[in-house]
Amino acid sequence: MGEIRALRIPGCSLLGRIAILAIIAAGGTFLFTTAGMSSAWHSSQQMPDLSTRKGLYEAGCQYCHGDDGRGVDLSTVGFDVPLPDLTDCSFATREPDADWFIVTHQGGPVRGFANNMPAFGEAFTDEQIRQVVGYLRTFCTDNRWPRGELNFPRAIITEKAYPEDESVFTLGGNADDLRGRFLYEQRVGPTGQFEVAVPVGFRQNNGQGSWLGGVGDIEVGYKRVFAHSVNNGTIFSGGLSATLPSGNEDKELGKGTFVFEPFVSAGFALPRNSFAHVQIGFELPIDADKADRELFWRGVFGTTLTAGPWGRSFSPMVELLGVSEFEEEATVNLFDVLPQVQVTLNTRQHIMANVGVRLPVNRTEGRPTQIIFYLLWEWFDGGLFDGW
Amino acid sequence: MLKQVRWGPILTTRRSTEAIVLAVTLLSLPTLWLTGAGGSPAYASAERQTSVQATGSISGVVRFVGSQPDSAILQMVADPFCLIAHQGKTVTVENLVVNANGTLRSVFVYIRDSDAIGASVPIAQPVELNQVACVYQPRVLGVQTGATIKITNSDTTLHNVNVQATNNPSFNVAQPIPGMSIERSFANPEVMIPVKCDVHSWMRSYIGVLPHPYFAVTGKDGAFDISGLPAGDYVLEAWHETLGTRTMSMKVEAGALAIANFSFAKER
Repeated sequence: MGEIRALRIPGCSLLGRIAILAIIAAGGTFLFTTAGMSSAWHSSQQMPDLSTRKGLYEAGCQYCHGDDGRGVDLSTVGFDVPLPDLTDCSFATREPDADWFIVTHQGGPVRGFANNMPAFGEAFTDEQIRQVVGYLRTFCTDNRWPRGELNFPRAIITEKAYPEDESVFTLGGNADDLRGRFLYEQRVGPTGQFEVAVPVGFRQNNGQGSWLGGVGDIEVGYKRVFAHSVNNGTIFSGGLSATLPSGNEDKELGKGTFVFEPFVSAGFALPRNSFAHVQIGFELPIDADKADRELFWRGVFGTTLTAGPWGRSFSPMVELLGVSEFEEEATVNLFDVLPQVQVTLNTRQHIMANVGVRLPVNRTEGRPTQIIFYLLWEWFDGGLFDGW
Repeated sequence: MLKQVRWGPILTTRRSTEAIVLAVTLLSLPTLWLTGAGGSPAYASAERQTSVQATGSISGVVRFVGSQPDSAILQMVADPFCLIAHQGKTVTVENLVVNANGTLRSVFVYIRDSDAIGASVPIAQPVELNQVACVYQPRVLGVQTGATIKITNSDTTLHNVNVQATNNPSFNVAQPIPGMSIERSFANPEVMIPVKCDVHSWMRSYIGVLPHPYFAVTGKDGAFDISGLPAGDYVLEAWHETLGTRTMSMKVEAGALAIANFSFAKER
């Protein structure tokens, strides 16, 4: 009763005071139970301003992805799939806006992700989805990471400028000579990439009916992005690789000497989902008696087509390959053309295949046409059997 | 004058009987057209009469055997809107609701085998599923294949409708805008399709999809009523989201009411 007396309000009956106490208690309970919650807009019972990209994020994304993009605690949502950290630039910069748009519009399953990500295509207009994707982009504040828009489809031979976390198995050759190559690439920081490649070869033993095979010259390399601009659609990189004399020289599986290969490469976005790669470099053997010094240049032009608005991607490309071999007596110039098409194989689009035909343009004697195929796995995006 | 000249002789000649038959026939044509093109009036009338006489009903109650289970209290702390929407009232988990009279709520009772129903079933009726104060209303509902189901968010908070079908395409649609509705239909029978909201972990609903309209969901009295059912032998099934299913063979006679009472007990 003493507490009630302390809250005495002139003209207010005992019943009225009890009612006021109840209201205060209820308010206190509410404050207690909502303490520690995210500052969700809905605590105010007011809709966010959907004319702003921040308001769109608050209305549609904040519940799960959190105020700051790091994702809410899983105990507060109805699923147990870890939420991505949108502030993690390594995650947030890899894919182009178009993929973020598709997943937001159609939901996670359209790209082989969890179905807990719902489709917003019936709630927001295309322009609103573009706005909210733009807002998601602000969570990564480190501009050193090149954007996924600059990650153009990989050609068979040319080293692209964009750094990757991927594995590629390439197989090519003809009826007498098959060459395979296991390539592993791993990003290092925002702009670096380490890679190691193990070639294997199988060739006819000079018409004797038997085959020779083995490991070729193993390569290690490092690539670094020097400059990139998603607004200009350009990316420039440089790198150095070293080829070790691990292959059997007698079986023509190796050169028998260390070879260093400095190079620069660039990628360019072109209109209508088209793109170009350029790479120029040198092959510099330590032992000039065992291998020629070479200047190589490579260029790729391609475009990407999709089956329907959300479907499989096809990237037909033409690769032009040139090399100048500096022999003692003269310089030999060789030119090849390599038409090819890359196809995404699974729904998540992180497993791809490419097949092409390498056609010698000049000095065709002793240089037969080769069919080349690769299987590419962007392992950062999931396992080999994920997202089909 | 022209009419008098034409009709006068007809009405006064020996063919007057034929004229009356002709007039009656002409007058009846629009009526036939309105009541159903193609069939003779005698046949249509007989079919309608047969269908009325050949149907019966099933009624019953679904009881819960055992002591009243404790209801867990929903913790809606994840979303302040939901807390405020219930104005401080305690909200319990609705996965097992025993009514005051000892009956079970939200039991889906339906004709499991549709063979005896025949190919001709009434036109599918649209149904609605609403999200109010962060709870699905109703928790359990039935819909006929091909019928429209309208799903609405009546809350000023984000809900996503995650429909996890196995015999129909699944979908998960976000509804961030108050009053927003979507419309879908299911082509294939499926009992039951779970529906959940990934934002609010407690939100659950179940949709029973059937190729016929002979289903019902028990309410606060635990009773159900299925009427207009063609006479025949049926298997009636009662489905409850946590207690499983019970089945009962039934004979439905024309113009009669069959009684089917189910009992569920919570397994320990």
